[in-house]
Amino acid sequence: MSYLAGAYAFAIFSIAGYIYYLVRQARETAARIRELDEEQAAARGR
Amino acid sequence: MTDVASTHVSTLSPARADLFRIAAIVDALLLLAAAALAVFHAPADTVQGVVQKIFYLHVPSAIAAYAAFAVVLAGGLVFLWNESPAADRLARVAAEVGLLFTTVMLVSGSLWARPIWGTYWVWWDPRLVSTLVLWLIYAGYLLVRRIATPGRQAGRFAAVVGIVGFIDVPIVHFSVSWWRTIHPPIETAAPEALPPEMLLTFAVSMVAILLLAAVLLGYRYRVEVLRDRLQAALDR
Repeated sequence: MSYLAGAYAFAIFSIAGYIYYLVRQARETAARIRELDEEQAAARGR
Repeated sequence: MTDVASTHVSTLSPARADLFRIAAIVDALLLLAAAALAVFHAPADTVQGVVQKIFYLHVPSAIAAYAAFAVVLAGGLVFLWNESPAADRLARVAAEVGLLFTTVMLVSGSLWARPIWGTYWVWWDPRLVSTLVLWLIYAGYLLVRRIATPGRQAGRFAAVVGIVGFIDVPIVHFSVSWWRTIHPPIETAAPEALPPEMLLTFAVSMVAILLLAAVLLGYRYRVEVLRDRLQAALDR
């Protein structure tokens, strides 16, 4: 039983961890793109 | 799963973003159904007991890994043919998803082996060793992609590694037929070899995990699109 639980727990944590990593990457990258766009827009406005 | 489109730097049309969100929700429900079927519906194996239920995770993870590596192969071939950045990007992200499912396959297999074979790992076994080699090939592929300076040359080199690496997939799959091995043969997972309750649980698990791999691939692809867009913005 503990081997079965261990296998499923490993899979759940690995996949959930990967999803968390992807969501964080998406948010951080999108935020950085927005910052750059705003900086460039401000530079054009000056 | 939070959609990349909701970060306000969209990589998808609203219709496609909705479709992606629906696929993620359907898959979450399918995964819950697969878990419920494995726990409550599928009977314990008469010989192995409940530990045999690792089967519903182990085999679909293997198939998902094979499918992801087939995408690496296809992406590599297309990139070598027309140098499409999208094909290169697809190969890159599929290798990561394939490696994730290969890891799940290896660990769940080891945890299944311990109570049945009395050991986590058998170094002389062709199926186990060829699977470890598969993991190492695609880990190496991702390492190459990480350390190489991005560009045409890195893409071509990675495509060749991805194409040559795929040779190990049929070796892993047919190793149980070609050589003497402790691993059960492919026929053990054949539909006619399973009672109906096990077959239903296996089918739902298979669909749920394959759809999960597709959703992860789609999401990871769009993260890569964002990264490329950021790199282009930084280069401006």
